[in-house]
Amino acid sequence: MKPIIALNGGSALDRQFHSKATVANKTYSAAVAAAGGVPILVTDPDSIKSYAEIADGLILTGSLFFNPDPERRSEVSKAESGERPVYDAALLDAFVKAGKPVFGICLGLQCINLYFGGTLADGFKFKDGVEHMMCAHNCLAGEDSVVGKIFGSEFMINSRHNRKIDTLAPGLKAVAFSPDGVIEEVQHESLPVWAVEWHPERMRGDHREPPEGPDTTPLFQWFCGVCKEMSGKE
Amino acid sequence: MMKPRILIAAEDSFDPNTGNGNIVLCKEYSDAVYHAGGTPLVALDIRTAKEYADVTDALLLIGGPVIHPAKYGSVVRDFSYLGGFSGTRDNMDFALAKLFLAQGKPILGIGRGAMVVNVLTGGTVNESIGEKGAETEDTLSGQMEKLLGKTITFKRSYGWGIGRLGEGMQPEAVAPDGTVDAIVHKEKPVWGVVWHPEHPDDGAAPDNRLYEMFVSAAASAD
Repeated sequence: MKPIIALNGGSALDRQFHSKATVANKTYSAAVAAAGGVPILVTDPDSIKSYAEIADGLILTGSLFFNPDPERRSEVSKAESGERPVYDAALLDAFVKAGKPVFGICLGLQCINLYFGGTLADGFKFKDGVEHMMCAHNCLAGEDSVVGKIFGSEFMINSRHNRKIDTLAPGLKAVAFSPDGVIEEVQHESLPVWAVEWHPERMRGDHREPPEGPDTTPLFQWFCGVCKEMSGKE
Repeated sequence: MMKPRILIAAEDSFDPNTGNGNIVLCKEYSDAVYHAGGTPLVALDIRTAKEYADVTDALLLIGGPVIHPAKYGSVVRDFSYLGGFSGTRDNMDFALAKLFLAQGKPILGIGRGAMVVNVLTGGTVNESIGEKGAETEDTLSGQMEKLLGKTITFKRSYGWGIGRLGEGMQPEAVAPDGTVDAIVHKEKPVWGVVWHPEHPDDGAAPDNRLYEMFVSAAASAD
């Protein structure tokens, strides 16, 4: 039996009625399906308890909006900074309390750091003079790093974020960094919670971002494997 | 008792801003499912269609673009008809519907979803049903009459609709001009309605009875 992996989505309007909606980028679900998991998008704030019972693990995804109606752009971005963090934190809380594995990506990493009591630096590029949106750099992975065990101690990754971890939350360890000191991977000391600041779901197959980076399918295989093992499914 | 798990096959196409395919679900559907007593879950990848059918209790097929005419044995006569057509969406909807039908699990088709269940059972699409937005008062019969009363008034969300009926499908909402707007399978728990009871602008009174009937069927199915 394959493990069921819950994925959260971003704020959107739907294509047919331009009503309030949730959007998922297929890069995440394709990575999970290719790695032996069953990806399911979970969208309903009232059903979070059921989601934590049904799914064997959670991937907290990055920020994303979709809007077929440009005139209503602000409505979608407001939901992304207002309702979405509340939903994401509640989802994370339910999976942590159920003892189920969680993997955070970008905004997911930031959500995890806030949940455990850390802080974020918004717009750090202006203070530090370093750009981390839509570019690429090395990932320097330490001894305990999950990605280091799979891809080695130094490899290229993408960078797509305007916020970074400022104060690391109690209970979290930073295990990989960018050359300019941004925390690129964290893991919890005692809970099955891991996260990365970069986007491994955009580094698979023939069109990798960046092209010099490794194919990250094995990272998703590792997470699906953890979820399957912890679920006790045959 | 566990709430029935309702799988939703959502919108599927491309987002030019991210350069990736995406899946979008309008909250009106998940709200309708939740308020009817179910847990809404959204399918994401066709490679795990079989697993979705195994771990959920019923399938909701929602509104959206036209179905490629090749799915019902026809040809494209006018490419403007295809509009926002999505091949990946067609493939996912039909793959899931086929699996749920084979397992005898309930399927509710809303809007486009009604046409999917009709085509799945061998029926066709009527490619020009009339004006989108036009109001119609349909006469109901059978299960639809029992559930919703003798008539229903709604605004058409589609200029296309149900054509020749699929095998085992009975017409249970018929417009004054004879257009069939709801179909119900004679033996299996399969329903399709072209109106959108979850959508506030569909012209009918707000009504969750169809979703409640569907979620109850999902709860009582094995």
